[in-house]
Amino acid sequence: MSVASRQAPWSRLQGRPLGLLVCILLAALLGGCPKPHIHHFTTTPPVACPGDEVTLHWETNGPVRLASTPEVAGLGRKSSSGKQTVTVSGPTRFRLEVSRVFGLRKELTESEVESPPKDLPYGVVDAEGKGHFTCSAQTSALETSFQLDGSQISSNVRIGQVTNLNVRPLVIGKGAVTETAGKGAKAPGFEGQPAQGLWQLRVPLEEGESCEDALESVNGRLIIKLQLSCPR
Amino acid sequence: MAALDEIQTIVILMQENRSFDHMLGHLSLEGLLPDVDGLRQEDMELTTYANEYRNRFYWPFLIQDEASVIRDPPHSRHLVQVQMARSSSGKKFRMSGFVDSYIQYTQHQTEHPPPMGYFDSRGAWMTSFLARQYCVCDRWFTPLPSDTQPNRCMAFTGTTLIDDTDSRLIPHREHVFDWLNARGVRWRVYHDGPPFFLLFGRFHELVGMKYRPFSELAHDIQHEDPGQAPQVIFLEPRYFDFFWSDEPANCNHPLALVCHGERLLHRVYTALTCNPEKWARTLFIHTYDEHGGFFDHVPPLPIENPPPPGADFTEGFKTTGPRVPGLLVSPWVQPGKAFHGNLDHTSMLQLLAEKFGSGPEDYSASVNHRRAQRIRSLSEALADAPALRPIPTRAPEPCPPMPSMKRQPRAPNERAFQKAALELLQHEGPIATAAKYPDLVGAPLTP
Repeated sequence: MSVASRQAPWSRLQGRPLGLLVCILLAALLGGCPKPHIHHFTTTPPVACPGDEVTLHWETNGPVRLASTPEVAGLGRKSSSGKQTVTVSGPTRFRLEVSRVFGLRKELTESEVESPPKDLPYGVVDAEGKGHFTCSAQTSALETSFQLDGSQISSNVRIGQVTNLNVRPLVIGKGAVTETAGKGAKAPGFEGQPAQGLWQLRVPLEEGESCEDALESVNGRLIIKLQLSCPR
Repeated sequence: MAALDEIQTIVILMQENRSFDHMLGHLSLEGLLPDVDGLRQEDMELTTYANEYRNRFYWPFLIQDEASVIRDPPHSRHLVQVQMARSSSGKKFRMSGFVDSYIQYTQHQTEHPPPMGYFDSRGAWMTSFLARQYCVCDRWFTPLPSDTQPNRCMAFTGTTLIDDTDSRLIPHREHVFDWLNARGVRWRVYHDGPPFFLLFGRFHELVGMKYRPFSELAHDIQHEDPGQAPQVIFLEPRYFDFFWSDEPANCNHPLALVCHGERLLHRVYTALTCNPEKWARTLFIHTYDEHGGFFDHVPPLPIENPPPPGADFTEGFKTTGPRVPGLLVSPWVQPGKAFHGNLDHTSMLQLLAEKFGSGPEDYSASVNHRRAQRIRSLSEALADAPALRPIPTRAPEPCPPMPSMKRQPRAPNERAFQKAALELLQHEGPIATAAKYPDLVGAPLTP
């Protein structure tokens, strides 16, 4: 640090009492107001087909500005909370900015819609408050399930092949279809089904294997990759 | 121990908010140091690292553009628990909740959630270079599964009376500066902007001779008489949480760019090695205060940390936090060899106690409590003999231009800086304060 830079700030401090006063008043003004906060911002569903409707839902504590890339009609300035349904034509990134104190304080976040969807992994993790696994000597398997609904994926999205991402053979079930896939293998039997619905996953126990050991052998996670597509 | 006897200067730089896998996971992924417990190609497509949010899974991805990190990932005590994701049996940590906590906190929903991003050897160019040329510690954990203030408190006092970050001065005891003073050890702080130590109070010290601007480090290393030079140097980066700076922050706290932190690291290394004679007897310790909400795949250590008397929290900690990068840069390490022993920030205090006290158990009861739970001293990573080779060098990389991030303080630690700066001004007066910390002039200090 140079000597000049040490001295300059103090002289600035002395020479600008009005500036200091403005700073203090501004700080007092800003300090007295709650900061902008985004309680909730979602785009539902986040995985959709081109031409699908998605719903933006936001809850904030100040005036909002909504924008998107690419541009979607009807966005712009909004009140602090609301819902709006728009149609997406492809991958879209929505941006929400909330401001307070005449726009001096801002908070922003983004929400993306994947459209058309790529191959996406879904499944269950064994963690407190998250997924639920069952396992017993009678079933001789580690089992879990998950539901994909309209909050996660559009009803128009269809399944192609399903890949087992786990290190052990997995029995995959949805509706009337059940298929077994080895490590990294594909199960083609779900092709054409909607992605929405209840997915059931099952790992048969090996001879003498405990449920706990089976769970740890898959890192506490059962995951499948869904090849997703949209009807033409 | 030969190394500790020979080392005359210990230099400590603690940057902010990056996890081990985020900064150094690439060492194993790129095959640069296969022995390091970082990210592995064979696990990148399996379930090992998969993080879940509403049944959808996310994997680590290479950060190509830091502009995609639009929000600071959360790392408060509650949300670190979400990140570490204890199994339903309570026996394991899945390390699967980093995305969940991020989206909960930021409402930012994206195909590539920033907590799962990692840097390669080009992005973290200086950290990667030092790791390969010196010693990387791949089991250095944050002492507590919480955020900045309690973890820095552990680093510089060995204990903590707080369990979260708030807009206040940090209540503490047993500061490392007092410990060093009591043993007659010469120490000094070099700071690039207002230092984090401001939050510990000790205002008179802050405007005194023990605090010097960063720009004087190289000159002092080059010219200062070893008999007068500090034995322990604390380097303070330019903090992102100090909200009123025209210069880009180089502490690496998001949304500051890692590039500036890498350049700081380069600057420090260049300064420390500019005097080969002194460098031959120097140990430079580089780490991070906490993981900053970024993914790491290694579960925390089961280390009990009960609230000490006078603490403002009642529920003790049962584990460490996630891993952070840890580097030992010195001729007194085996080049390119990783250290796999369990470390946390109090390992630095054990080292100081070995060097300047009667042994690793000479710091404090709270540090010994962690040592009894197998947190080791950094001295265990040192070599018996110095590496005889030319000092490795590397050219710095340029950084993209960064707009000024001057702003009103908002986050708790930003408001803590604001409060501490105002108190410093009140205690020491505007002339001494402005001369030492010109960034404070004109800053909005009234809460």
